[in-house]
Amino acid sequence: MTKGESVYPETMPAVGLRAEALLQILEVTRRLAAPFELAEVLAEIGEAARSVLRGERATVWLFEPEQGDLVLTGGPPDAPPLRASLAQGVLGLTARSRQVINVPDCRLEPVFDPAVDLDVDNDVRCMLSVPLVERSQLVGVLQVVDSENGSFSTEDECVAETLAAQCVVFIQRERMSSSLAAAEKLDREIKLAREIQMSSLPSEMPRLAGYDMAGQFCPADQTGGDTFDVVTLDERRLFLLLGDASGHGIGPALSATQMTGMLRVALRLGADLDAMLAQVNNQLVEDLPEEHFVTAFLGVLDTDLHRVGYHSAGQGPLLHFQAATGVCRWLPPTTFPLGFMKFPQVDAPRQIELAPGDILGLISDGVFECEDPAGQMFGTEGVERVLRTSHEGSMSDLLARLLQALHLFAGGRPQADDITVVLLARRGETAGRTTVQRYFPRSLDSLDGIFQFVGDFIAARSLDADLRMPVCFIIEELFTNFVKYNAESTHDISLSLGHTPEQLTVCITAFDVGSFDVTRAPTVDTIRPLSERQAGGLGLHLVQQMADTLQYEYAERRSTITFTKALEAG
Amino acid sequence: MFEIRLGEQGEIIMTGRLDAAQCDKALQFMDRVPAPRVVDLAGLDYVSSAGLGVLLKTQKRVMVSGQGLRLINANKHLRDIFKYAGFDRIFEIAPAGS
Repeated sequence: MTKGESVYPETMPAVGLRAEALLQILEVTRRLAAPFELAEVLAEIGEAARSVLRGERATVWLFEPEQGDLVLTGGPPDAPPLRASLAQGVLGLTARSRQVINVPDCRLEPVFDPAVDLDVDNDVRCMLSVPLVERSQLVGVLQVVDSENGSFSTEDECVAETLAAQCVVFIQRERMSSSLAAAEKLDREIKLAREIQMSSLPSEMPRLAGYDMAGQFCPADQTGGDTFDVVTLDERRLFLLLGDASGHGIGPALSATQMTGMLRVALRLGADLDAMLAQVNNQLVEDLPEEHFVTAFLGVLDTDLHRVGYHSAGQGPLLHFQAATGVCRWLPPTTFPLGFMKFPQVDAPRQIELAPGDILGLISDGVFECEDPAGQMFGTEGVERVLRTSHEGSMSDLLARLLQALHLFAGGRPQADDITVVLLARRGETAGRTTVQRYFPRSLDSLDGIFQFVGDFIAARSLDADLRMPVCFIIEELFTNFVKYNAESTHDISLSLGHTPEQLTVCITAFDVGSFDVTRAPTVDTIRPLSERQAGGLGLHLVQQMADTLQYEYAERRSTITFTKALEAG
Repeated sequence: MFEIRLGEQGEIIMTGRLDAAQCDKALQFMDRVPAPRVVDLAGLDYVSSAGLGVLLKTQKRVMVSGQGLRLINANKHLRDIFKYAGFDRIFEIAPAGS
């Protein structure tokens, strides 16, 4: 083929190359376009260089940026790859200078180093050393020795540069596709680990008389090791688990699955909570890598006693929503996470008493740490916001609303961590619940709604209608006090009404407020003459007079006032 | 719902619920009546301490002329509240139907 017959005239370098060399370069390019392993690509390049440049031997060194040296593969299968620093030989000089180095006589070249320039038999005469460079980044060095013409010409230098430019493309392509394949393999493995993790979750929530449950696990794309489990132990006891294994990738998913499996075996063997905690922890200490751990809530609900005994190893905060007051208690973990170290001792399980309407929430940190586009976290406050409006419905409804609120909060940001929620509610004991609770905005405009709420409660339960006015009076005084004196709080005020055959109990709770004990409000001397009477203070004085009992509690910037009015028998 | 108006005999008629959200409206009305004498509470279902404050302020204003308010037709709830608040000592209170 002559120059004029080339099918790729536009790819020709400006310096005239011999047609034969060009053809060979094109042939190498065509062959390298087929998928190769990196080792094959390098061997092909070496062979092409040797052939095109008419040398006796050619080698391709690759630069490894992490080690900062050059490496030569392709020796015997068991032999370690050869390594050379950038300080050694013509090889190192080529790498440092990124220039083609043509050595006509190696014996006269002081930089020449037989060790790295591969003159094992001390018989190399001449050398062409060519840098492999992409976008000024060093990729490797191509070396060809012993031209059959005695030395390498300027044209050979040009051919070598052209060949090198083509080779770099294929080396980089091979490297990228290798890392892509590794990533795809990892993706497949993570997916498989996820499937195993998902298969260990309960397929449906058990049904328990007087209780309502819902649970959901929403995996993040790549990371996270959440799990939960709900196992019926007998007709009155239920085992509850929520766990979160630390770390990223496949490990956490498998650790979480391993823990669930161990706990199920422990349950079958009849282990109690203390033994389960200790034994599973000991096993995880042995099994998990040093920096890994698992947070876990292990609890048993007794539906006769309406009590949950639990250990919480680094898992928290736990939600206990108290229907009677509308207050969310956030309980801390009881001990450190599993897998760190053996427990010196296991304390007795803690207890949560569930009153009618109460909710126990096991919630993974993916919920609390979910961020909005401004970087604000959803937090316990976000959970409380949803609870205020939705705690009276079913737990599956509450769960759906919580997940929807999270989705809206995240504003389109991808889910960064697994999200797991298990909700357990104790239902009311009668057809109409004895306790109802509602939140009202802190505004005098809420008074209409409060009067309606109280009126409906009394009417629906056929309670003494004469109670309505005094009860409304007391509530209004307490509510308006909260509104007037805690303007900085933005939280709604909780009002709950409950009754037994003997008495009506009302509970008002204000959040993020200062302390003011209404039971200690100064009394008003109501027998003073008109000229000495003040309107202020009269309300709380009347509250003290009209309520049968009046209690005040203050904790965590939360004021709770509870009062009762006796109900007439019958 | 709270309404306040003057009756045919010049009496002040209150109806509905006089709570903290309504007391400004009540006080503004009372202040515009130069010499109120009778307040008819037949239609008033409920009064809160804020409502009591409206009555107390008006009573202080009119007592300067030596003649106080007469609260008529108060229901049992209102009378109980008046009693707890000691209003029976500083107002003339007539039961419902009087």
